[in-house]
Amino acid sequence: MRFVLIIIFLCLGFLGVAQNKQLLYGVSEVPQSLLTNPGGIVSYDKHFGIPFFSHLHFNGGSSGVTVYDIFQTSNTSDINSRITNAIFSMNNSDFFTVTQQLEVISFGWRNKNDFYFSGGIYQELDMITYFPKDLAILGWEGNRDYIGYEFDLSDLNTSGDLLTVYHFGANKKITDKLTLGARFKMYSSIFNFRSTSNKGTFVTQESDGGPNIYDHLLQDADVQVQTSGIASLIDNDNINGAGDVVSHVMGRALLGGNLGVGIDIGATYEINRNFTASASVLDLGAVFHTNDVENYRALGSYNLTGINLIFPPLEDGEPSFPYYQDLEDEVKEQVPIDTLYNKYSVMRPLKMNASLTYHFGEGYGKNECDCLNRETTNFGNQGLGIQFYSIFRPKQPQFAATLFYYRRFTEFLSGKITYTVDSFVSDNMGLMAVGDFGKFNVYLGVDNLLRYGNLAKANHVSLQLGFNIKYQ
Amino acid sequence: MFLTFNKCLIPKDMFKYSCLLLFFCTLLFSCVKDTDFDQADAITPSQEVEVNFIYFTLEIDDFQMDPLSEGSLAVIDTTEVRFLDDDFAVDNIVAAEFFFKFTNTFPVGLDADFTFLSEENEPFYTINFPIQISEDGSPVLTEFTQLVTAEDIELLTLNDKVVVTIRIQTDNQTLEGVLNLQSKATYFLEFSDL
Repeated sequence: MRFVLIIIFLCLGFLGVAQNKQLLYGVSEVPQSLLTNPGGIVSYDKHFGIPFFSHLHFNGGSSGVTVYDIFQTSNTSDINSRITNAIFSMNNSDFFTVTQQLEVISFGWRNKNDFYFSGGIYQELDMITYFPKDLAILGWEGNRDYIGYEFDLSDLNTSGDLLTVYHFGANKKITDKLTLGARFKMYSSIFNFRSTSNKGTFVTQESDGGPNIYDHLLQDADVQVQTSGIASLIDNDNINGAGDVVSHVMGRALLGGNLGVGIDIGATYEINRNFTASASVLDLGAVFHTNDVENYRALGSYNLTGINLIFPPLEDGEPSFPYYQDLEDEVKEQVPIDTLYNKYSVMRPLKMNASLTYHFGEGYGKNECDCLNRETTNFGNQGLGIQFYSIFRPKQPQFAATLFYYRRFTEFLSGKITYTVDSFVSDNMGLMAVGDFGKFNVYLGVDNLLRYGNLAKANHVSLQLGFNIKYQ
Repeated sequence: MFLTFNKCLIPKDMFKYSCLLLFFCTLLFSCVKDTDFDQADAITPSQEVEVNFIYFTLEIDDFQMDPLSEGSLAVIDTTEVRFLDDDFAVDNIVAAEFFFKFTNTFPVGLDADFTFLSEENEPFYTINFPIQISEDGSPVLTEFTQLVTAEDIELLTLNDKVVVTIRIQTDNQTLEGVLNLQSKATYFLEFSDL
């Protein structure tokens, strides 16, 4: 359990607006930027990702608390008081999230009609849990100091997905100024869970004319957990050991699980020599959970008044009424927990990107300034711009705004620095370096550099790196 | 002043590579410090949970002759309190408090007895106290609090049922009056062995 707690708090430490790839977005040297905007500029004719190493992405964090907040070395407070402070300083819109992507295959080529086709397979883990403040208070402190306080069951709000994405897209420069792209995606869900539309309250209040001191009222409770791909792992007698689990998971990853479809669309518009605008919509789609589905639902209202003894006249040795069993049965009858097997669909978390870039500076390499032909020369080894990002989450959309500076230093080296503000972090600086060493393309980007001196104090950390082979 | 890149390569390259070096150095020297994860061993949620306990209302017709005390009437009933000897309770309840509130209109004395029994019906913990007389038939309140300290909690959590006995110090089965009990339990929990 301690290990689990440490893992949870480590996850707490690495949080932000998950899946925001502000470093990768718009960096046309990296083939994987097409996954953030299928309508991005493509400056190469062919690419292959190094299998399993073409795109590694990790993003996680906590909007309300850091690892340092809990595990700091301190002589003035103990860890329990720090946890108490954290519980009361957060609210139910704070969240913890973990996103991870591993690209298995990536490829692309330009055909004779100047379409750039690209495709691949990647695995994605995406989880978000809103901080269930009322339930945390009840679990951490109990109800004694909260007589009359209504604990809100809707604070329980969590969802998670592990899936494989098969995708194929096309990109084309339609006119001198406009590039469009679209990508079709097929999702193969390995597992999914969600509990996002819970209702009801629990309150302990002094009884007003009732039979006992308190009324423990569960009011209009409707708590539901939907799962797919999990029950067969738990209940399957044929699964014994890690090997069987891996085999089972691989089967679901390879289109053997619940399937879904979605699209990405994007565009880049070169307004003039200096300005470029771009936008994309990602993961417009849904996964349809039809097999290996197991849902649980507790529904009802109940007032727990205690055990009402009625002192029945009994013969010697005759047992009294089964008060306790009757009480348990009554609770189960009034608030039954049903196991359901009904299908459900889950919309993918829709993501939107937009950017405006001002290009300036000199050309480089083959595109160095040609003073005799300035208009046709590709100039602008630098870019300054803004980016906008949003993602739809169970409670509300999350937003992020980024200022960035991009510079191509040489033909083989470029970089991008970002300053991102979102709902919870106001000083997230990120840095990406991209190297093109012949045909070998490598990139590495990290977020929250200001916290790299001590990651424990970071609310959010993101890492993305990969290796590709590109042909010009 | 810096020269243009293609005319003066050395200062320009130095700048580029310094930036790159700085970037990777930043990654190399990133760390988690000023933290102590061994503190996880000290995480001890401590709940104080209040929950209704037993309640009832008695009239004289409910009482029967008490075989153990001549000249008295008594009622006895038993209920399970199953969770009390569960591992969860044994491991985590560090203290408890029972609060009883009797409202009596009987014009005679009464005694309340709560005896906790184990699964084998062995008594390991008892609470008893007198209930105040109502001189004139108006309701008289008797409130009694029993704190089960850390020393006694092991005895309490050996039990899974409680026998409630109310004795009224009369054998007059036409006596008028009502006895009402409301009660609650407060459990002090510490999850020290997570």
